[in-house]
Amino acid sequence: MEKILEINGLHKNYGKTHAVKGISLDVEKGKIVGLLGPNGSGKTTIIKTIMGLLSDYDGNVAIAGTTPGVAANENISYLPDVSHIPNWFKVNQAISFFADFYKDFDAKRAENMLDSMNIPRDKKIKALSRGMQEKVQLSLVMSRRAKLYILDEPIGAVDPASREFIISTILKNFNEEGAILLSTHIIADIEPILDVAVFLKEGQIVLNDDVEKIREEKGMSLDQLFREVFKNVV
Amino acid sequence: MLCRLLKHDFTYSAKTFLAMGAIAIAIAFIMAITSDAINQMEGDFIYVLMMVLMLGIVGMAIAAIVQIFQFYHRSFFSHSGYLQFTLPVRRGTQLASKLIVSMAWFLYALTVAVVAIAIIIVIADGVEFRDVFPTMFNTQTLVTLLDLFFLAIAAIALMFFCITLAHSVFFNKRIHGIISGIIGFLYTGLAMWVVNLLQGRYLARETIERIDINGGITAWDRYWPQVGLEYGRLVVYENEFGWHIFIDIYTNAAMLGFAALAIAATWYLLKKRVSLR
Repeated sequence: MEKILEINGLHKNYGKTHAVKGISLDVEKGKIVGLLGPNGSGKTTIIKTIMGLLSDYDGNVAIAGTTPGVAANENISYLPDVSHIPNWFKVNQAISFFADFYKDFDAKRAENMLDSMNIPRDKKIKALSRGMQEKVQLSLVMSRRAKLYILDEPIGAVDPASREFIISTILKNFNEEGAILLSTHIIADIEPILDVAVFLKEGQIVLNDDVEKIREEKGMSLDQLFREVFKNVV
Repeated sequence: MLCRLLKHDFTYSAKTFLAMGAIAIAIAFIMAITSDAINQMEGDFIYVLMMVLMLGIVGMAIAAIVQIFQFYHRSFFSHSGYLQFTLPVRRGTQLASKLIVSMAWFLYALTVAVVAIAIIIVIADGVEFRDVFPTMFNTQTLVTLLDLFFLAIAAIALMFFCITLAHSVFFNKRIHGIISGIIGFLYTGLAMWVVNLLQGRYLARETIERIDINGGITAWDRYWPQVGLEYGRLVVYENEFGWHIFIDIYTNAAMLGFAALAIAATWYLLKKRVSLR
């Protein structure tokens, strides 16, 4: 199976804190991989490294054969855990921004998604609720035909109804020619869509396996196993 | 990609700068139309009023600098940085866009200042509009504007460098980076002027003996020999027609040098040494 993302021996320190301790991880084409762990386990640090947002790390990262940077950014559609679309943008401006910079962006698809959610395109991002902002961001990110989608805590700050929408949007727009790496600490909602689960604890991978296999071998759901593994951490 | 970035960067910053320009023009207009009334006033009120109006214009200049600072800082180091840094655009192109937009707004601020002064001259002094600009734009004013332009390039480049340094991996705590950036900005600015001053005076001693400027030169081909160096300045004379140009080449070259160094260092930091937390 073709590897979309390859990470080998990744280490990252913040001052004296060793945030990521020699992680190796592969993401294969067509898979939805969950990077699961409590806050502070290193999920966002790994994602930022892939996105080239952190510069001083040890180890190797390759995205479709390229190192993090300009070329890799053409292949990755990234949803960070913060509201990264400038809040003074109107929704229409955000669409035009993505269309200007990403060759694989499908503006029509984004417009259709936004219309289906009744999000007014002439409104400024800052005038929208937090949930609506999340939906706008996700619609833009999922309207690209990227090789790798990286979604950092996509359901972390939204209500249960919005979570349902976000998960169905991810599934509906998933490009089988690509892969998704998705981080979260809210397992129950996201479990049904995951192919592979990676448990992160204190900067190390403690489990990396097929979700079906985990359920069969452990005899419990991913959510139950997560609570078991992290009961003293969360 | 540069054109697309410029389009979005101009759109991002336009509203604030255009509003500031409008306020500056309005203040100038108020000063001009009330000048007669102000001149007839007695007591301290006139000074207070003039002070308030002058502070308004100075405030606009300071606000313009703060806006350029915020424009760069917000683009790269607020949440928008997650979008900027993950675009498929080279860091050098992104930096170039920020520099071009900042310099464009600086030139706009200069233009607003010139127009504001012109408004005061036309309305308050009753000078014909067509006579205002030839009066204002004598060679010395133009050279001063040129000096200001080079100074602005250096100051903006240095500002960008200090902001970027404050967000680099060299500082574990952001506050340390910010304090170091401010101290670095002030120190480098001061050092820049001292170096220029010393350099200008030193070169002046070396070159002043060689200056030989005669009057009455009218032809362009005979004009160049009259170019000389005086007190660290390029001097061009054409006396009968009133041409006197003093271009502070050493200071301006030093400013450009500082700007080039600051831009190169900023580019390196953005490419290799910046981390978003």
